[in-house]
Amino acid sequence: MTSKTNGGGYEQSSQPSLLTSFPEDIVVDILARVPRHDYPALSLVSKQFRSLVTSHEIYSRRSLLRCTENCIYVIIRSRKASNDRLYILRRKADGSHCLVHISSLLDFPKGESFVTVGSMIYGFGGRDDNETLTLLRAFSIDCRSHTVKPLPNMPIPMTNTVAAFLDGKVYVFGKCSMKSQSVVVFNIETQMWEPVVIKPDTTTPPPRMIWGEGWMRVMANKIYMKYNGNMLVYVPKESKWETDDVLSSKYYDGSACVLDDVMYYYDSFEKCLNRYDPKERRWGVVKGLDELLAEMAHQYLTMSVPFGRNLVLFFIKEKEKCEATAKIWCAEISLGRHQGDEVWGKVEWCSQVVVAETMYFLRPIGVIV
Amino acid sequence: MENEKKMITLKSSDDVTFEVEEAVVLESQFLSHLVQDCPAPEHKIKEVTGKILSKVVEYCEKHVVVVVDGGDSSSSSGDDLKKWDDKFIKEMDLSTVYDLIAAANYLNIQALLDLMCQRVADVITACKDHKEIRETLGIVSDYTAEEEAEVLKENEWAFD
Repeated sequence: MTSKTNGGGYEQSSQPSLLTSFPEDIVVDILARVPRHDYPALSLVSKQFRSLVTSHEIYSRRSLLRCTENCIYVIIRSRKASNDRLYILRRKADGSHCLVHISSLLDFPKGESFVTVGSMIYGFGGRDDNETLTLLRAFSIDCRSHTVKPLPNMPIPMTNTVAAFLDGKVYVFGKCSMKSQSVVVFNIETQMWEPVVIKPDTTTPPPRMIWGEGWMRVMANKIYMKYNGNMLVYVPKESKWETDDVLSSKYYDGSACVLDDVMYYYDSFEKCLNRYDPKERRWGVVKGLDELLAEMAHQYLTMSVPFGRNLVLFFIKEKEKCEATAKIWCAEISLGRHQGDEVWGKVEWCSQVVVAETMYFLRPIGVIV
Repeated sequence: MENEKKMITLKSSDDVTFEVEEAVVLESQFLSHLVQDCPAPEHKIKEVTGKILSKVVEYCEKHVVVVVDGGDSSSSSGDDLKKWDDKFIKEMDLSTVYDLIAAANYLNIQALLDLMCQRVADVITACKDHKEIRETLGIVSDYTAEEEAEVLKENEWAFD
């Protein structure tokens, strides 16, 4: 080995690169430490770099080195496009934020329920193009490579599906007939459906409302699912069903998300960000967000998603809700405790991130890459 | 007797010698085995030059002192070490970093290898585009214009 210093900086393009002469393991180690948003630029450097930054190995190394990053993807469905479109929330060089279409991922099917597992998005169910036939389809989107893979079909036909992930398994809850609901289980490790179909053992109370979007989230190792206004709680470890009347007492929908085992949702009637802690079985309000919340339209036009320790809200402004195109805004909120019990939110940034024509479905999904 | 520290001499490929305490040598897995297996007072390290070995010794001496002194490992000693590491790599040019990566890999000093790999990653991150990365790392593109356009299209989302 020779020492090749000439004492001045590292702009020594006349010298042959030593980096590429290192064992691949070391090059992987270096590239794994580079932020993920620089991977496209790395792909353009050379064929070797491209093959490395798209390898599974580099993502395992990122986990090992604790260099993984939180990243938000958004699925947008519009009447214009026959397929769903995947967007990524990106911070531009000037510090502003925007949603960018992943144009290399053109053909991915319309799913009904989505759930994230690490760097993967799993999609289930949906209807055929004529919106008549219920589909058994299941698929995954790999957010490392932006590729879609079909998965084995769901074991039973279900409509109005919702999905959540807990302990290596994805639970998909949905309606099997007018009166019955079931949960089917997809094993992430084997990538197969488990033979069991879980039925709620309590007689489900009659629907509180005719139409309601389903909802399913995990809090403190329990799966909470809402259907037609009723709340069901499933504890997989004990194969036990429970109820939570306090949680059922408010009206929330797909817009609610869970961060650190606490649920948050924007209540457009009260103009507040509500929080529910299942350990205390108590509702509370996140303070300090009046200015932001005053601008937001109805909660069914709002979606929330956890982003590391923060919350990200996607919303439409009240004064813009009747416009022909949907101007979608986004705000990142950090949370902190003040004076004992009070939880305060701070708007880290808020900007218009995309203008979507004829948009009618928006689902933000947080992944780790 | 306990206070009397065992000294070991390391000799670089270009015959520069360094006398270090045994504890310093133990920072390197490779040297630990070497010292155990072969209890000679002097060890020649044919793969590393004097210039780089002096950096390796400087790093290991600093890191071993903190571990011995800060038995209860207070956070300030960790912060101080971090500051020292930052200063250590700040003025270093890339070819020295590369040589230190090769040396840390050969001598099996994981913390030094991590520090140096992070340094290269930071240099890459500071580049504004793929052309600057190529220039900085001295990599010649092996893409044809068509192939490059294809990769650019695939990654369109990432560029303003």
